Amino acid sequence: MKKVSFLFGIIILVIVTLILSIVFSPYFMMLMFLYFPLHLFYTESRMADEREKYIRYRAGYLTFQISIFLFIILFIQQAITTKTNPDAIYYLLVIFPIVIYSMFLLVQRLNLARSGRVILYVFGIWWILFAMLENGFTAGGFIQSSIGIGFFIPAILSYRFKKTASVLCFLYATFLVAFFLRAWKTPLLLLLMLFILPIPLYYAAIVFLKREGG
Amino acid sequence: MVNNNLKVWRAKFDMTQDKLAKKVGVSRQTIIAIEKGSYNPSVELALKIAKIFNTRVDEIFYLREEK
Repeated sequence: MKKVSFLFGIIILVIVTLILSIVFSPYFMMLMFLYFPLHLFYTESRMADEREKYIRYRAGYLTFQISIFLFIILFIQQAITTKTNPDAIYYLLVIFPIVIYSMFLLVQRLNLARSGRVILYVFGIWWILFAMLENGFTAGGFIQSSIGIGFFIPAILSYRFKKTASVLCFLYATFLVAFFLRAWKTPLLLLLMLFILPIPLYYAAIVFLKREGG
Repeated sequence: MVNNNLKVWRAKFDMTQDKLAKKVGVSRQTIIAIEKGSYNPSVELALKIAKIFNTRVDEIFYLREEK
């Protein structure tokens, strides 16, 4: 049954791709690459043995590395050719996979609370540097960088009061989400801002609440 | 590096790669990779294989001596 729906999915994909490519542009042939997630979804639905899982992990890791490399090249190329800040999409392409990957890796390497603290410190410092570089040592720069300073308070509190730190992270993240939803109307910029600031805070809020295993 | 004599044990029990794969719940390619030494099985899989041949894990899998 699954095989039938998989084959049906491929046929639909091919037909839709061909129609769009003929009617609009041959560039729609790129849609053919959707075969891979479709195939992965199909194979994921049956039991994969440990070697297959290992190969998938290796393939995923290699893809991650190559993608990051390509995205950085794209980012630099865009910055050089336009001589301005690259569009939000280029920031997203670079930051999104790195942040997701780092969060997973940190939990594996450090304990939960420590990983939350590292995330808060890293994003806090990163934001302060970014705000200062963008605005210089001006009043605007200090105001913007104060968002990053706010990351340090729950991080410091978490050494002794994890629950309080978690609540603080949650409230601060929710405040930032509400603020960004009002301030940014461009969807990509909004997504970028949500990803850089509230998501790490929500992550810290969750890990501070979790009990260490073992 | 882990070496193994899985092929010998399979021959002893007159068992095909496919049959062994089905018994331990992996693909035939995984058994081939283990026999070739290109993939080290997990402890769980090594125990399952040893159980099929009614023997200990270290009778099938052993550490290759480093020079």
